Amino acid sequence: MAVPEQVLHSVLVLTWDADDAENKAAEAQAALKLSDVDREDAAAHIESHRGDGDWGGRAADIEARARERVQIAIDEGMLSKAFDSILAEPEDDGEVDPFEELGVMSPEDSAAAAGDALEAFMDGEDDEDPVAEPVQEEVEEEEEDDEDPFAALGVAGPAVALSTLDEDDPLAALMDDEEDEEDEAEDEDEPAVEVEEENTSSAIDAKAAYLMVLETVWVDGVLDPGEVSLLARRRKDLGLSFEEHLALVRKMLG
Amino acid sequence: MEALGQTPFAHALALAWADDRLTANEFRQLDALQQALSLSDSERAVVESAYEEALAEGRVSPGEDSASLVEWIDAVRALTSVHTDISSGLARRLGATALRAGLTQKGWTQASDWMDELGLFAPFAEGCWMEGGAAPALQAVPLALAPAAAALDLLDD
Repeated sequence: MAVPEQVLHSVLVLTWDADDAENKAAEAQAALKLSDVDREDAAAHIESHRGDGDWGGRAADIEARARERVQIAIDEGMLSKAFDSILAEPEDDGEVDPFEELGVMSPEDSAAAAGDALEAFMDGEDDEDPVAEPVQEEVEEEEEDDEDPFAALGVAGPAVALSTLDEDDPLAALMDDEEDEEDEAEDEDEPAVEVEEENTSSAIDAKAAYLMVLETVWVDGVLDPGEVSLLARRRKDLGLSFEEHLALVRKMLG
Repeated sequence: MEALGQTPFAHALALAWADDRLTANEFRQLDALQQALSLSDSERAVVESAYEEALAEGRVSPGEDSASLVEWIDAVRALTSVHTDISSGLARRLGATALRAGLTQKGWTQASDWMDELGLFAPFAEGCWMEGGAAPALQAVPLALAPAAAALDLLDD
C-alpha cells in the first residue's frame, strides 16, 4: 500500500519543473488528504536535495522510484487516472549509464545511497511495512535497501518493527477538527487572552488552572490524542507556551 | 529490546560490562559514543559512576552480549550523524506514534530521558503533545530508538 506522504513527494518530484506543477501538487495533496505542512515538508526536502535536477547523481533512480509510487497510488485509487500524464519517461539525452544498463547501482550511487539524506523522505516511510508483524527485530543487514526502512535514510544499522496500531488514525481525525476549532478559537478568545497577559497574577492562575487540567486528564495514567488535543486548546486559551507546558509536566511528574 | 540503562550511554555501559570486565577496547568504543552523543567528560563520569555503583549493588543487570556493544554504538552514531531534519523527524513521529498508542507517565518520562541524551527531546515532545500538528506514525524505528519505543509500549512482548 502506498504511503500518502511519499506519494505526494513523488508527485512533486515528477512535476517539479512542469508548468502545471502547482496544480498537480494541490490536486494530489487534496486527493491524498494531506496537510499543507506535509506538502511543505516534501517541497523542502526536494529543494534541499534536488540540486539542479541531478539529485546528486541519482536522478534516474529517484525519478523511477517516484513513477513507481505514483503508479501504485493510481492503481490503488489514491490518485486519479489523470496522474498517468506525469509518468512519462523523459526523452533520452543520449548519455548511457553503463551501470544502469547492466541493472546495477553504480559505485557513485552506492556511495550516495549510504549517506543521502534525501532518501529520508524518499524511502523512509515506504519501507515501513504497514502490516508490520508484532515485534521482530531485523538484526540482519538486508541486501535490498527497500527492506531496511532506515538505511535509505542514511541511518545505518538494524531497525526494529513497532507493534501494529489500529488502522484508524485518531490523530489524523483530530488534525482536521483542530484546524476548524483553532479558527473559531482565534475569533472568540482573543480578548480573554489579552486580559490575562496584562495581569501577572492571572498568568499564575493560568498555570495553576492548566496544571489542574493536566493532572485531571492524565489521572488515569494514559493520555490519548483527544486529551492531548484538549490540552493544546487549553494552552492556547490560557496563553501558555509549549515550553511552559513542558515545565508544568515536569512539575507534575516530580 | 529493553533499555539496559536510562540513557543510550548507560545502555552501552551495560553492554560493555556484559562479561564483567571493561576492556581498553570497550573503553575506547565508549569514547566514540561519548563523542557521538556530545557528552562532556563530567557528564560521562556521572553516568559511569552511577552505573558502576548500581552494578556493584546489584541494582542493574549487565547486558548479555558484549559483542553487541559495537552494534549499539554504530546504531547511535548512525542516528546522531544524519541530518537533523531526519533524526528530528523520526523523533517527532515516534512521539506521535506513542500518543496514538496512549502516552503513559512512565513511558513519557523514560523516553524523554532517552531522547534528551540523543539531542532529540524537543521534536519528540512536539510529537507526543501534537505541538505544530499531528505527525504521521512510524511502523519501525532505528535500533538506537528501540529502547525508547519499548518504554512507550510500542513493542510487543
